[in-house]
Amino acid sequence: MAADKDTQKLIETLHPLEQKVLPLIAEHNSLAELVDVSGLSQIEVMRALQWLENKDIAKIKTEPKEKISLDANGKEYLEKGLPEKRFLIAIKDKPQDMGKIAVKAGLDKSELNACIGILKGKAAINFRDNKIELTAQGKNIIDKESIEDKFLKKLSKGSVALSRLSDEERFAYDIFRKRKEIIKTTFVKDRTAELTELGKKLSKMKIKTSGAIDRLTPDMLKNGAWKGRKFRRYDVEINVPKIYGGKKHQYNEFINEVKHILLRMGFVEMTGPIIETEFFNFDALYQPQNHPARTWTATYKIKEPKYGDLPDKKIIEAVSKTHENGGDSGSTGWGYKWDPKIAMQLMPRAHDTAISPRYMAKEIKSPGKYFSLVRCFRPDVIDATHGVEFNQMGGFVIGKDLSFKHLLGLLRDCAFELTGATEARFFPDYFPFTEPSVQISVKHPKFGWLELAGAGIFRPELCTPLGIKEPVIAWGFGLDRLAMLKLGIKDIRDIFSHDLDYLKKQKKYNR
Amino acid sequence: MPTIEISYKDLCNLIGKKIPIKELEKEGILFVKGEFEEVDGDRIKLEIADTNRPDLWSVEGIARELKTKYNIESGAINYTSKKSGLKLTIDRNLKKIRPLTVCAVIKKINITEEVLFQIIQLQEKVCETFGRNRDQAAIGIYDYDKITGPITYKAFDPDKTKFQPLDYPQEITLRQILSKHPKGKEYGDLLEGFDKYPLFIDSVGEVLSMPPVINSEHTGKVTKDTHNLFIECSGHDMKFIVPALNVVVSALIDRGGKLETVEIEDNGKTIISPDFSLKEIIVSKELIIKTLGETITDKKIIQLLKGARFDVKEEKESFKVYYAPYRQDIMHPMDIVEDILIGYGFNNIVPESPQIITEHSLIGEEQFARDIADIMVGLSCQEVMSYVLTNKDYLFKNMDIDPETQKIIEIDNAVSKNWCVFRTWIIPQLLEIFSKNTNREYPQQIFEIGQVVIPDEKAETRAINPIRIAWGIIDKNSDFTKAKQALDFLMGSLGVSYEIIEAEHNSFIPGRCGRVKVNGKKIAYIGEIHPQVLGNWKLDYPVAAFELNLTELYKAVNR
Repeated sequence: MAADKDTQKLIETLHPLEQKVLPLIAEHNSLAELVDVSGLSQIEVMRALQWLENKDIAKIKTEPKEKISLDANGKEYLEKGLPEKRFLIAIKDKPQDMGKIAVKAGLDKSELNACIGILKGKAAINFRDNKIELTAQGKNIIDKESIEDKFLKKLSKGSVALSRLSDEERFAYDIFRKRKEIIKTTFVKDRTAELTELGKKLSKMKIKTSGAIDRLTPDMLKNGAWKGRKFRRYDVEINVPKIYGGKKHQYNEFINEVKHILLRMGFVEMTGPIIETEFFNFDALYQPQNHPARTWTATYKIKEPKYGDLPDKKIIEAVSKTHENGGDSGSTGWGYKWDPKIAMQLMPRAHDTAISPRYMAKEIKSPGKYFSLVRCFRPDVIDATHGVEFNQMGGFVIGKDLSFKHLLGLLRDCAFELTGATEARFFPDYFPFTEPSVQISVKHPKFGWLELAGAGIFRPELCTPLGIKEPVIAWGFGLDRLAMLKLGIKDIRDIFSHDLDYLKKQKKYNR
Repeated sequence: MPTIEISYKDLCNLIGKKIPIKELEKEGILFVKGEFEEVDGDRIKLEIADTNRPDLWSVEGIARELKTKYNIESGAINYTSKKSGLKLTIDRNLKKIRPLTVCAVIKKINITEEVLFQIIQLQEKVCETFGRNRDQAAIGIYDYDKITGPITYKAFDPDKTKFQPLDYPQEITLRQILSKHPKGKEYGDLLEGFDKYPLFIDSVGEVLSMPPVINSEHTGKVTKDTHNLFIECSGHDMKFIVPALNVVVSALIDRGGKLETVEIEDNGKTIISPDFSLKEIIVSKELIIKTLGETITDKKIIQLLKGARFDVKEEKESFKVYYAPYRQDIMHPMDIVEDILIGYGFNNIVPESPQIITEHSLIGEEQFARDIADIMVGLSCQEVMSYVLTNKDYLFKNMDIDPETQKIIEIDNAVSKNWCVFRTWIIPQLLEIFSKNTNREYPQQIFEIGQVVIPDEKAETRAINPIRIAWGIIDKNSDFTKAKQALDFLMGSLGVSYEIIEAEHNSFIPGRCGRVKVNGKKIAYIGEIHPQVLGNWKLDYPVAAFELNLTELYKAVNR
């Protein structure tokens, strides 16, 4: 049969593997058979079939099949015998109590109970005076190879397709299925190939290796053997196996991007310890020592060690006075006796704001812009919006003439830079360490209005003890939420996904 | 943040004007730092952000503020009172138990089902959040007409004294209340350990309540048929109990109740309670203008102050501001300034970017860590991220390390046993990731860069947080050579020379583990993971890994 022009072109694109497999399909259609007769590996045959399918020469049929094989306990029972058999053997000579049976048969409590259930069901045992004796029926069973035994043996030789079980085997299967880890069922895909009309036509033609070059080799290049010869045509539209290179974690990439945005806005990065004193977490932020936010349920505590060091006396004295009677801040204070011992207690950092007073107490320049972006820890119950840990970004801007107007401006600038939004609204809010306090919502081009961040002017009761006389604008973003928006993540736990397949498929730009 | 449920109709009645619900949701509620959570017909669930303003945690308090927003009233409310003639004596024996109380009488109040619901809700929110779960403030409300004055507040023997607690079928002893009554079980720990328990008891021996646990069935039950109320708030500190009482009392007055005072005898001192006279604070004009950042007339400021429920007296440089005694949050003139700004409207202020020139910088070590990540992805490694929290099984048991040999920081009140200690190294978490990906394609080559928490007695907070990089490969032929090649590539890219000396480490195969030294300092472990450890993680393929202290390496690079 002569090939027309198109068919001829098609033949020229056939890979050697395809050339080898194609003629075999007419006679053998299961994947296993094709592997056998072709002498190729399974991957090679599969690849050839997929290419042929892409060219509409063959069709691959995939049928899922349940295969049954031995599980951990199954393997053990194969060696030692089924528990119920061992149970019967243990009482073969005379009735025994449960303890003895357990030792003789080598069974644990749950196995013992399971055996009693099974053997009672078969009327093989009887209870008498706290002991268990063998019945006539039991004696009958004991030496016979049961259906279960036979099935176990069969499975030891390799897995069996569920659809091919005999009635007896099916019976044993149903029993085993309900018991712990005797058998396991896996789904395997059973593949067969079939020729299309085009395929049938081609398979009748002589597919001769036309002498076309399949792979260009260094030798050919050296000796010029490629000259005057044709190259086998490729199907350039074909799918190729995927490869994955190394990737940085998308969340770290996001964090780094955020940091660089702030850098461009003129901010200095700050950092602080993960294990922090309550002093910086709360006291320096003018959070009273009996405040509910400081309780067992609202913050983590650590076992050992209990106490850390406090900063220098001058600051301690000033903070203590401010809590007690306002000190020099112009406030009435909280009006209670401040306890340095409570302030010394250690805890995992509960919010990024803990870092700000550390810097304010010693090393800031005015005017100045400062931020931190750190991991924080609170005892939240983990769900789609609460992770085990969370990241917060916040900081402050200090300057002689800063006002609430600037606070709004700063918050708006940060929010726009970080989200790409162009419209903002402000709402009154409450934070224990700022007055006035404000929350910003921005109109996101994709998600609509979003509550994004909080801010405020640090209370005089916070600034005065730290020696700060100029206004300080403080602001903070819940970073994980922002990341979820930017990375298109719906469940916060996916940020820390451990699925390597998921991670290597992450996209660089998710916007 | 307190969440409360109110009736829309009730709110409008209290305001005295029907405000469209959409207007309330979008504008009105912001005035009290609130947010609608849910609207279901007439019922509105809303959240109040200000945890320091218990006076806003009720429909009455919200209405009080909105009356000025919608120009129905302005200025501070001048609450008037009469003497009720009721006396209350505080016994000395309470001194160490629960020594203080303040109280009030409210007459002629019309209690509907909704009013009752609101009173109970406010009482609960105030005691829970502001009163620290009744420890600092517990409020009792009683049927005044069933009480025969004077009242005594005194501690009694818990086994010899009995009364019938609210919603309980019979009389039981005080101690039994703690074990049998649901409220006793809930709040009993506030009394446990004392040899006597506090009671309010009237002149005919009728028990009113056992604070801070439960009222009596007889006098402590308020229903729709109750017209006159006695209210007390007990605790340890006037700073808590006075505002808690005032918040509830002002809500009841707003409901139409008439306030009457009680004379309290406290060991020689006589107090007339409650004191509803206005308090004052001076706010300088400069502070207002500087904070706002815009010019504003005195007239406008006065208008805004009155709109925030303050009375005002203008002086040359400042304003004398008078406020009602339910405002317990006012500590500093700045608290008044915020109310002025809220009245002004945050969205009426034109935001202005701070025009300040600053130096800017990132933490060098953190940026160095990102550079390291760049180098590592060149080796086709996938970066992974874990929590800083992990558990002891992962850190020690699975790694075949004796927990006694290593100090760690452990959380005392962990939410989950999976995350209850801070990691001291990262390789265990790499193995955890390998163990979760045994069904994925091999080889897997991963790295993580992050902080660890190492106990250090000399450190200010007894722990330090160096940044580390952990790298690992799992494959059928991963070995020491692979690990050293990766380390070599990393160090070579940084231009750092290093040496490896043989080391012992239980998690690695003996003779195939080394420590990496840079400038004489040991900064890394490298080696093949011990098969025992691989078995613990249920890994069927060999793993080679290293973990390197980047904080130290950064120092070496920047020398």
